[in-house]
Amino acid sequence: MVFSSSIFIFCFLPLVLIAYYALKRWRSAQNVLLLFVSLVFYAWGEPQYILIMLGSIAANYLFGILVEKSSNNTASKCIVALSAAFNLGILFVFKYLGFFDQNVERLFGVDLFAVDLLLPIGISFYTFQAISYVVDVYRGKGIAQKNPLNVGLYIAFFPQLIAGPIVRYETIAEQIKNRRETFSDFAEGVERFIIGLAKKLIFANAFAVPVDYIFDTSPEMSVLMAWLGALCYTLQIFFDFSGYSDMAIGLGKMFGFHYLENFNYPYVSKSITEFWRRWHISLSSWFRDYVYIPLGGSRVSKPRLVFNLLVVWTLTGIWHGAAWTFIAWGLWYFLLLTFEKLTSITGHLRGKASKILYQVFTLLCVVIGWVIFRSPSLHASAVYLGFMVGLNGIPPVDETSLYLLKNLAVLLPIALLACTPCIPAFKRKIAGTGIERAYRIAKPIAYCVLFFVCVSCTVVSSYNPFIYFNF
Amino acid sequence: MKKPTSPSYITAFVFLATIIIFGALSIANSSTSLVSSWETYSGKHYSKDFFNTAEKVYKAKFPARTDWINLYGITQDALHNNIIGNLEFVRDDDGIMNQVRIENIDSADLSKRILQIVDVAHLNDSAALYVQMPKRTEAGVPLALRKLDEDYEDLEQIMRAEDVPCLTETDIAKASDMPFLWSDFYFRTDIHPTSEAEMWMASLLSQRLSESFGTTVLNSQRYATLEGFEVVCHPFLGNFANSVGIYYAGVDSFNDYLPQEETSFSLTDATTGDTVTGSFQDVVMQNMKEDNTKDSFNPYWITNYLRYGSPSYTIQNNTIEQGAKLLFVCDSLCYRTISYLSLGCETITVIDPRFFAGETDYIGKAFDNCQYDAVIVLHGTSMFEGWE
Repeated sequence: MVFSSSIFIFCFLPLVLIAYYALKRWRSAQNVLLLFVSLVFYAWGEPQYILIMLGSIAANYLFGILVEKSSNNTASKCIVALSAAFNLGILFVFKYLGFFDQNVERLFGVDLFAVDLLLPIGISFYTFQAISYVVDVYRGKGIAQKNPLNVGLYIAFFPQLIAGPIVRYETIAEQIKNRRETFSDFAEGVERFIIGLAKKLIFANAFAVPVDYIFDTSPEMSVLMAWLGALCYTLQIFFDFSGYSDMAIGLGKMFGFHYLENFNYPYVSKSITEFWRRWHISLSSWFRDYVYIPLGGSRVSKPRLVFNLLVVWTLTGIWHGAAWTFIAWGLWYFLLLTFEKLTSITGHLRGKASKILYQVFTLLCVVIGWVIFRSPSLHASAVYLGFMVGLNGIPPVDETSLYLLKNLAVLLPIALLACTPCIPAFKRKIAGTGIERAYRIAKPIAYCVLFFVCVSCTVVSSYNPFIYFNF
Repeated sequence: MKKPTSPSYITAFVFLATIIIFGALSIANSSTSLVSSWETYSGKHYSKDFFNTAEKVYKAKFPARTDWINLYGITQDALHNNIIGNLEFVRDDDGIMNQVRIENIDSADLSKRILQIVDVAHLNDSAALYVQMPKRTEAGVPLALRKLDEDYEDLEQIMRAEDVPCLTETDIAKASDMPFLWSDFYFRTDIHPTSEAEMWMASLLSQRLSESFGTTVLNSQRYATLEGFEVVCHPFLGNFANSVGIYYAGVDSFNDYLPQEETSFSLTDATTGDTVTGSFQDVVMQNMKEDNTKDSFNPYWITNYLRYGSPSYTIQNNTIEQGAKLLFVCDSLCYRTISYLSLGCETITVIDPRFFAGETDYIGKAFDNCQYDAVIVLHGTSMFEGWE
């Protein structure tokens, strides 16, 4: 089930909200309800994979108990290692075994497993949450849940289940049992949900159309079309994924859960390092805290630093999917971040012009990264990048790309503006003035209009792809 | 609960009220369909199909659906978005909705199949005529996204090279008496031509049949003068605009031309063998839905003509003896042209090749029952792709 479907908004959500607040006095019953509906939510369309999730919940519940009860550090470490191996093993089998098998066959001509498993939806997200649970219990950042249903709720809670954010156990360990639902939080959650819905339905879906046309059906393209495709995908993936995160955070708030932010205007980043502090924050901080820092982090020799970065970014790449394009995309960021770390270039930039130039360079690198990410193969991404610099001898501008561009004449400037923190800046500017009062009155009206427009999209639109569902 | 600090409670209240009220209405509207689809799927092995069906049903039965569609259209209009769905439809510079085609048409395959039909006609001592309806104007839509382009010219060249009599777009463009603008040939919101355009096509076809084969369609001048018909107009939203509504695409007028004289027709469905007899309105226009005229979203007036969805059927004009006998191989693009022509012909058989998945044997079989004066093949790019 997707958040932007009419069956979610007009059937699942109201029923769950009514039942949840009807059980207001019984926290345990509320948690059981949330777990049950989360399993229904997950089973909707993919029922066979629910067993894997239930297995993961049961195993990690036991790992958590064992870690907490183990008498010495070595035993605890062994259990943590075992749990990591278990979780990553599941991930490997369902996500990477086919890819591994395919490459072995390509190299050695041997089909080892002859497997063709379908990817269980959201497996990368909930597996990382499961690892986080055991590790955080080991680190003393949260207590092991005595009730397996609570572990189930942490791992399977529907707002973040399918496409994140990856909620770390330490963030909500306390909230599982002791949270406070307030109308203020609920209202904020509603606003956040509407924002996410609008990002997805109005922006991401609109950009998906030229993106799919350009990347999937154009064997040859002009420079303008190649750049348009790359720009539109850059915007699509941001609005798609951050929209989903907004909806997840908003839904969490409606039920009294507070998740950490997952995006912070990533396209205004002044460096690649900053970009990864703003993009998919829950994933980059997960790798930082559970891989990079345990490997030694930055306070090591330069060769070791390069090795640590290589490990983290190869894993980051492959986390997104079992394909060489994702690995190449991760390695692309490895190169860029290694360059930034070894040269400390951002510290050497003097003057506004050089900083702006480096910011443009950063954005350019991100766009190139997305081209690699979106392409169906490494060869296709190389060809596409060639189109972007006009290597195919086709005139730089063509009729179709001008048409597509013209079609985005209103949406594109709004989308570009929405990628910047213009609204927080505007709010700061009007604070304490008469305009602030008008803004406060206009805001709920704007939200309601936006919501109705989104509803109209859910009722009509048949084209509703979610990019991060594939991961 | 803590009181909210801003008027954001208004948003929360509206949100909650909307999802609860519309949710309840949706469940009420779709419950019967959901239960029946559950019964369909639950007896078999566990199927993903139920979930897909449930979502579709829920969407289709959503309360005030047409109003939501209109709101969607208004929003898309405000955003100047001329591309609808995943490049399914585009609105051109004249505000006319058009279908998008991305993949190329295999002109060689299409011409091969049309020539097979021509051969069958000749084998049965019948004439054959290849007909193209004019292209949609598609102002400002790039060539790569247009529904019809080079395949028209390709087909015309191939047919002329094979000496197949044609009524092509080039011929139609030469006709000086076109009573409307090119851009008005088709509905703004639908794939089909307007009734006036179909009437004019009936006139051109009659002329060509007479000139090329000596086949006379009686009283054919009425197609040009439009005399002897009572015109009934219906607001019409076609199949290109069902997802954007009337404010985005506009509303067409679907004009029914009802013959004023007394008529008598018989229609025999080749698949079922059933025959119905009655007037033009009762037989050729068999499916009138007068009760729906106020809602332009629902009635699809095209389906009132002939036997939309039936693979093959024959219309007999009981008031004409020794008149023209025509066999049409076509999709729904010229349903009303055929309907109007039936007023001046003795027999017309219609074969929709989409139901025969590329087979052409059925043309020969049609001659077992009747010796047609001419076989008319109407160009349709997806005619031979086959339907389930």
